[in-house]
Amino acid sequence: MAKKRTIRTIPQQRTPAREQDPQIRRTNFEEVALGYDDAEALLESQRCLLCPEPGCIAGCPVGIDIPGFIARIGEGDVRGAYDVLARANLLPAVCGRVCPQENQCEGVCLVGESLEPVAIGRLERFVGDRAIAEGFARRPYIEPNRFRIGIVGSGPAGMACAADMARAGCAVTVFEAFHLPGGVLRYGIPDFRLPNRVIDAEIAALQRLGVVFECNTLVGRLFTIEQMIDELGFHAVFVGTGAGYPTMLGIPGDQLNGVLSANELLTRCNLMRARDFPNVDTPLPLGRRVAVVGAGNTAMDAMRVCLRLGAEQVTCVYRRSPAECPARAEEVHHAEQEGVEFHWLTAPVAVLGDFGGGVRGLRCQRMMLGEPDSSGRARPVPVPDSEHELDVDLVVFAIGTNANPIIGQTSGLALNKRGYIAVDDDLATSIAGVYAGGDIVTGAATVIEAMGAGRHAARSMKAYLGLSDPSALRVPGDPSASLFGLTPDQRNFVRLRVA
Amino acid sequence: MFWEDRFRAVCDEVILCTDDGSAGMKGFVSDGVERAIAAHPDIDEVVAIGPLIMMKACAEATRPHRIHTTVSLNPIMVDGTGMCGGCRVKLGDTVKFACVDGPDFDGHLVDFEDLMVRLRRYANEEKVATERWSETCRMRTLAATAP
Ligand SMILES: Cc1cc2nc3c(=O)[nH]c(=O)nc-3n(C[C@H](O)[C@H](O)[C@H](O)COP(=O)(O)OP(=O)(O)OC[C@H]3O[C@@H](n4cnc5c(N)ncnc54)[C@H](O)[C@@H]3O)c2cc1C
Ligand code: SF4
Ligand code: FES
Repeated sequence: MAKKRTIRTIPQQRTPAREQDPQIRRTNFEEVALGYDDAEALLESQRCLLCPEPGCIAGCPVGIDIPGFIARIGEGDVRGAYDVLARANLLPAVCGRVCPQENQCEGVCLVGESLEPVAIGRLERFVGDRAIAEGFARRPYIEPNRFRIGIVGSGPAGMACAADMARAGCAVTVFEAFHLPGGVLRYGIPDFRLPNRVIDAEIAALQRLGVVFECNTLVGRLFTIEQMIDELGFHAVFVGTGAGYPTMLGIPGDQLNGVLSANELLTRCNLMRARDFPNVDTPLPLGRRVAVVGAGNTAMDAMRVCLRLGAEQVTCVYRRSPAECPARAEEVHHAEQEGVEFHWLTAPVAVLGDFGGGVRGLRCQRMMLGEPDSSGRARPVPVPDSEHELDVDLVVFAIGTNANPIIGQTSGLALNKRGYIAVDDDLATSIAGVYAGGDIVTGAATVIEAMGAGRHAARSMKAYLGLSDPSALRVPGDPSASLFGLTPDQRNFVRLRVA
Repeated sequence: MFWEDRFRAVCDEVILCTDDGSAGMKGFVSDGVERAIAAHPDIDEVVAIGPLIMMKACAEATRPHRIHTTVSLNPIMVDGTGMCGGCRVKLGDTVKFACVDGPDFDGHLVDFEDLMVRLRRYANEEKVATERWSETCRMRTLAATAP
């Protein structure tokens, strides 16, 4: 570097990211943000001060060496940048697109104190996309051992744990309830924010490491967690089943046809491809005028999907103010550009039905912010005499999720008060050899935190199996009882027997 | 009528019901339930599995006798893993997801009217899909060209 960069010498403006025009994109499911090209990435990389004591690393939930990878981009060494990123983050192309950067790395970037912070997320995505396109992630040499690892759930937590255990030489099988792997990345986040090809590429990378995906397998119903250890020959198990058990609001009319959870809408549209109905069998609940209750990422996704499916009007109903809105700033901005109407400080009171069991409106009341509640956010309280009706024919609830109960119902795993799986500091559960992480432990959180938890659990598992300290190696048991090496018929027999 | 012999082999008593009386007694399943209750006052539990309307009638038949009645519900499901809430059913004042909390519930608590409306949610789309299926069904062309 010729001259030391200072806040005055760096490009003052953030390099803009090219986007699809809002009027065009609200009619298609193509990706909205188009990503940096080489020149744009190079320019933006020069805005990083490469601080000796950076804020950004501490702001990153998995501690990526951010100035390290940005410096490599500046040197034109994208592969080197990927190597730095990949040390901490297995899914840079995903996280660059979906992390709430403004609350993490970019929120504490030192440039951000006087200018717009460095666009760390966009740079991460640039490197992640290049890595996929050029196949940077080469298969490392793996010394196989005889350990077998079972992973339940193929979301970011399960994927991360699978990758680390496969790299350590274990035979890893991921069991997924749905017919396609990816978790929320697949069924929840729509294509226009995270294209399927990115998820497919990450899954394929895991398969190259030797990870086997067993889809259409609902653990707990086909076999239990205990049976995975006792009968199916897994030496350790990771549970990453996510938090998806949607909360319904419990207001009059919430049982009407025409009221559904954002998860149902998104699953039908994304995973089940219902927007191709009748060429696919799953139908979509279409609304002409839609109200979406909630203002998190899930709500933003639901609203933008409804627009793309042809809704004339989409309204966001949220009982707090924009300052409390939990969605990524970029998604709110994109939703506004696409024409979503925001009704802040508004709470639904009742869904109004028509005679056929459908919806004809949503009764709401205005709110104002009162004293802070236990979460530290101002508690919304109703404004007297402020009831009014919105003329809508579809109501979507995106107001949060609870722990999925299946694993809890069918295993002896200890749960906490809210129904999530209880773990210690090593993410170990109450059953020896069984670890858990991601949303099923923390409640709904973020992709990066789930991924971090998967890796954390992998470290603990390796210690448990003695892989990080070979003198403590546990001798693998008899592998004959395992699912491996069996024909599909034999395997089904095993499943039936243990179910 | 099929498998009647198999049922008889494992049951103390089998009461067949047909709408037209062509086999067993003439009447609905709920009539058969009434007959069984009349003959055996000590029945502890009734399990009804089948069409919604039949399960509803059975639950109504046992309600005055306060006999615990289990019904198995079939709301429209998407994932069957508790993730979408599409399968929710009303049980008294509470809402349950049939795929993970059920599908077997106390028939005296189930709101059958609500479930019937919910089952009609996609009636039009089901028609469209069936028509499309019949149009594109290859079985017909196979049958026509079969040697
Ligand atoms: C619509 C939506 C948008 C979001 N947007 C963002 C965003 O922009 N940025 C962000 O950081 N976070 C976002 N999140 C949150 C983020 O996606 C989650 O925090 C993260 O995916 C959690 O990962 P996980 O691996 O713990 O679980 P999940 O991703 O939920 O994956 C769990 C998987 O386990 C499977 N499973 C469950 N039970 C079983 C069983 N019994 N047997 C077998 N398989 C089972 C499920 O089918 C699922 O595939 C969003 C969430 C939603 C719903
Ligand atoms: S805090 Fe900002 S400027 Fe400093 S190293 Fe991190 S990204 Fe670069
Ligand atoms: S079918 Fe989705 S929650 Fe039951």
